[in-house]
Amino acid sequence: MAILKRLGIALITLFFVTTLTFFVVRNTPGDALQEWALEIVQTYGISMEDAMKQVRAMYAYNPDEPVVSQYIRYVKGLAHGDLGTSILYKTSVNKIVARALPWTVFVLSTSLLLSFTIGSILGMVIAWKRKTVLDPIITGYAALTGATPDYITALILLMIFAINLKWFPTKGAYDPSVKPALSWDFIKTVLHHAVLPVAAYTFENTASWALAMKGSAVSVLGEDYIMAARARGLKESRIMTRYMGRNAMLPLVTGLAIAFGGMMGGSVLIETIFNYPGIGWFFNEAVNRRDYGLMQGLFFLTAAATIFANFVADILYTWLDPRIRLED
Amino acid sequence: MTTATVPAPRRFDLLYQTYRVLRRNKRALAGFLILAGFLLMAAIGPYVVPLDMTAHYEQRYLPPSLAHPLGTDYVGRDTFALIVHGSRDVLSIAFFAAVFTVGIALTVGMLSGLQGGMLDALLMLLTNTVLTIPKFPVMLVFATIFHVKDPVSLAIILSVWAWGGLARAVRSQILSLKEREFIEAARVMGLSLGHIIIKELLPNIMPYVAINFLYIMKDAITASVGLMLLGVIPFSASNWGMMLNLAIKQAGAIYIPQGIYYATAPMVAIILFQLGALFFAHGLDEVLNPRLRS
Amino acid sequence: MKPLLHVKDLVVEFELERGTLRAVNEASLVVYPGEIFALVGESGSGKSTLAFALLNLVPPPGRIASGRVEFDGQDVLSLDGNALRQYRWRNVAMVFQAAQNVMNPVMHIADHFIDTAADHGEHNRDAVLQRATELLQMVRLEPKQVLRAYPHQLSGGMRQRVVIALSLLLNPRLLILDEPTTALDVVTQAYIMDILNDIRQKTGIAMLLLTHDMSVVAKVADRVGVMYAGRLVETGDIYTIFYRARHPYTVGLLNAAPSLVGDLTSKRPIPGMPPDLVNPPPGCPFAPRCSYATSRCETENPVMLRIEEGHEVACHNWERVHV
Repeated sequence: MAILKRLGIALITLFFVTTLTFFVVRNTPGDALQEWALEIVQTYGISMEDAMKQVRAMYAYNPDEPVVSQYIRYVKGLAHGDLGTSILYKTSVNKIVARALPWTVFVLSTSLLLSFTIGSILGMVIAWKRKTVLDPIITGYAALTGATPDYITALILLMIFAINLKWFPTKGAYDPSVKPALSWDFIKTVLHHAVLPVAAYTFENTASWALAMKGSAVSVLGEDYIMAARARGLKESRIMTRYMGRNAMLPLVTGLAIAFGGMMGGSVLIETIFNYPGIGWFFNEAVNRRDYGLMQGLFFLTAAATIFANFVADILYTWLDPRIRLED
Repeated sequence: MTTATVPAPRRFDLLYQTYRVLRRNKRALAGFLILAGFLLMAAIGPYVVPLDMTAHYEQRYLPPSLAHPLGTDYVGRDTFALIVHGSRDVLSIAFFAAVFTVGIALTVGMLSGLQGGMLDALLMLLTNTVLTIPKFPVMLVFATIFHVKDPVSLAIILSVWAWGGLARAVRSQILSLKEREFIEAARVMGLSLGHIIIKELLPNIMPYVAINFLYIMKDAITASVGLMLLGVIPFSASNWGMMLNLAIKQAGAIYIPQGIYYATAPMVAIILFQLGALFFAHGLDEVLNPRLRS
Repeated sequence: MKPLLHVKDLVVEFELERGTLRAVNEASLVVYPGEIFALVGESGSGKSTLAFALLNLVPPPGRIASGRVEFDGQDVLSLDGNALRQYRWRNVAMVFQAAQNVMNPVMHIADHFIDTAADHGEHNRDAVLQRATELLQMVRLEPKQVLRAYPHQLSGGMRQRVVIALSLLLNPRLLILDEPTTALDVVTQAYIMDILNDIRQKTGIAMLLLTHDMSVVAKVADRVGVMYAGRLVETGDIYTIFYRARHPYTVGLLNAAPSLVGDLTSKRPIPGMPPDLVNPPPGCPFAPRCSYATSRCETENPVMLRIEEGHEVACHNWERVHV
């Protein structure tokens, strides 16, 4: 069955990424480790040799151990769900992920939902009403957001709304003085802190969804069954939703997975700018502080997530489009 | 060996078509002028506009004036001069990154398309991986591990995960061209594979590649500035990305009201360049794909 | 007898970049209750556009420039909004060409029936499905399987029959069929024509059949109208047309149709090409291709003349024309 084939490809890709990650990170040029040791020497005043020993120990890197067994150990660990250890935070990466992932998922899914929904509606309206003032506005807006990198959008939002107007905070996922609980206070502060990151993603992506939907809807509107629906005296509202809408949305579904992947990639920058403690923020920390264990674990997580998202989108598409379902 | 020429599809005179597009499409023309402006800025700007790197603390974060059209930075250096001098780095990084990306994409795409079989399957698996995994984290990892010292090494890092889309497109173009008669005819005539590639296949995909070159440059700038923003790549303070990095650091320009000019100058420069690239590339795209002409 | 459908001097134009294209040029025709009227003409003659106009469904950049369409005495073209929506399918339904995919690919066949009924005020699902079952049986399809299926799961011939069944859902009094058998194989064609005859017997519905195939006309039509370059050039009952046609184009069509038993070399195609509808030459549109043409034909456009009871021709030289 095709599902199995796709699952197989997904797993092979994941395996490939795992191997790649392992060898890239393991083959860190010696001087990276040396630099690190140097830092430790400078901070703690111990000898270089001792520092190197510490680095290697924390890094679980035994140069005498054959690469193959290192690799096997690594893969076995992954198969058990162990993402590794963070040297910086001196805890397992899994624990950090447990803390950070919910925030990232929260912000990303909210943003994706918002930008997809608003964009789709706009796109359908533009396609439906053939000449409207909305069209050049959206096209112009799309050009502007296409040219502006997502982090600049984020910076501008930060500058205007957080720093200057002080309407929103400049860091954190919630106000630290509020205890995390299922209380209205907590929910309020969570939402308050999430507004700017979500706004950054949404401003950046809505226009391209609108244009994608417009293109899809315009080609659907040219199909015979739309004209035939009108001939049958169907209500315009029904034609717009059940006839145009459902068909126009199909090609965009795979775009959702790609968008999700892109957003995960962009989360490093957006979360860093807003000091929002999600996966991206921790990834940046790991990179800046040379925490290779954390970097590796989070990278694997990101890769696995995007591979999985693509797999789901593929399945979703075949499930939604009856024409494809039966071709397998 | 016969001297008869094989009738190939009408060769695309890219320059002439570009000229026609620029005449008709105002936005493409605007884009072209913007790009040309930046190119000029990068080429001769540093000679025309002097950059005084000495620190004048008393002149920090001055508002725009005749002497300093964009104000000054956190140690009193002229922002405009910084932008001008930074443009050279920014554009050359983008250019090299695009060159490498296109090189890899063409190689992979053509190998895949022409060879087919196991190699094709393998290369496509690789391409899919590259396309699925988001490239910014990858570039971050590479940037951390392999020390970046100059524009070329940065360009390599930028290109290593960027070639996926173009490779796939090149492959499908090759696949469709492969079946066409003029390729068959060339084969029958005993023309070598190299000849077929260079004289027959490449000219047909070059216009498409040229347009994507612009898009790739645009992406490379976005990525490189993003990397610099995070402080992963040590670069001279005049590089736009570096300027942004310095602006968002503690007590950086974005937190200081007077610093707004310094903070926004590189942003505007980046957005302007990207817009130029987009408009111009869209215009060229219309030439390649006439159905876009509404 | 009072006409069911009366088209008077209908003009439909398309605004193109290179000029205004007149697809239907002062066309007039009448359809009586319960009869099958065949509208004959080659592609581009304006038949489909005229049919769309009857439902006020001409797609932009087209528009109905002038003329009247009366259904049962009611002015159709002045209807709009809800009234137009209700008029469609209840009074006049249309069966599109077999090659077109007129059904929503993501909806079951059953849903098409339910949607149509619902938007015309009938919300009782069971009643609708019951009626749909009867109709599908009338077109000789297996209702349970078909209702559950998606459009792409059915063959071309099956889809065409579903579309016919769907068109009868609200008991329209006039059914327009646009080339119902083109794009189907000969065996299926005959089958469909059989079904249409059946329907006519059982329901007494009137049909406006658009086709270029004279053999189809011969099998089912009561009356015939011939269209060329957007104009009606001859109308009459079936025997009159086949045995006593008086327009050179009609004669040409009759001669061009191959007969299954005759000599293939006796087939004579009409030389030349149809005129450009954006810049039509003055005079009779058929003149350039007509073997009976005189100088008057090139300057003066002929009007429809009633030359006998139920037989009209638009030709200056009709007296000389014979089959």
